[in-house]
Amino acid sequence: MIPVTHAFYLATGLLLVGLAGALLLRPRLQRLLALQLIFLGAHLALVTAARIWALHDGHAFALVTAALALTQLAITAPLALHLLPTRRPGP
Amino acid sequence: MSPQLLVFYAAAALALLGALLALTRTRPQAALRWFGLTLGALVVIEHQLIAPTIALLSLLFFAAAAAYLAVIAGHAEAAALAPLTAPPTAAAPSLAPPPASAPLSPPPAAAPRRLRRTRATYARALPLLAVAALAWVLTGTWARQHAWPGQELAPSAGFGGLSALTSALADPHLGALIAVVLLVLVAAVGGLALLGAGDGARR
Repeated sequence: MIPVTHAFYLATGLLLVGLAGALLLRPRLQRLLALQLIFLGAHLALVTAARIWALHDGHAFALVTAALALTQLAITAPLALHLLPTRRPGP
Repeated sequence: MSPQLLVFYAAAALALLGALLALTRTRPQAALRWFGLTLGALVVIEHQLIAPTIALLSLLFFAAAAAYLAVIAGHAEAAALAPLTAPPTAAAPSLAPPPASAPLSPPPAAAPRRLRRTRATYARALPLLAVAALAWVLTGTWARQHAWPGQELAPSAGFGGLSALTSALADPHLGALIAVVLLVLVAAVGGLALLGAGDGARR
């Protein structure tokens, strides 16, 4: 048995590291990874909450969070990494 | 200290270390490698929190995310667009030697600009540090009051199994499940369309 409170500490740490990276870092890839870290912190907090109260609703919402993180990644990664066509000014 | 606790602490340390190193690496492949370490450590922790189905699904999701990021990074590098780790406004580095008339020393305005940028970074970091300290203290206060391993579960309770998860998803959270499936579908199609649009524009 592991103390679930320590898992909450870890989730908070991941969320704060991600928040700091998203606010302070300028490179696009690092900022994208920082946003993913925020999602990971929320995901871990939900799994831990499900363990505390022995409810599967936390697992369901953790699954939703992971899917949302994947969705955000799929859309923002090409945008953030400049894979979109750039409109050049005409002559 | 039990072996389970040791594994948890090791995985937690690896998760935080991987997160910090992923954000501080300048090479995309190295950053993705450290991010993968964080994801793997989280899967171990989820398994320890009696969520084997979520751990398995997270492993699939995380593997898909890491593979997608690796493909995107490869696309960006192959296209020789702006470097991935450069700020959006930075000019692309040139390998050609500077012209003879170019000054060898940086312009005199570079140092004050760097100083201003550093000051702005610290100005943004200080409120963030305050928020971080507050969140850490609140979590710690709450955690000390509830320092317990969670509800007692019988070995045959089946907590964290696939059937329990599907029943939780199918009954009270069916709307969320349908929304997630639609979102992932739209995101997958959208991501592929964006990649194709970028490739087509470069050709």
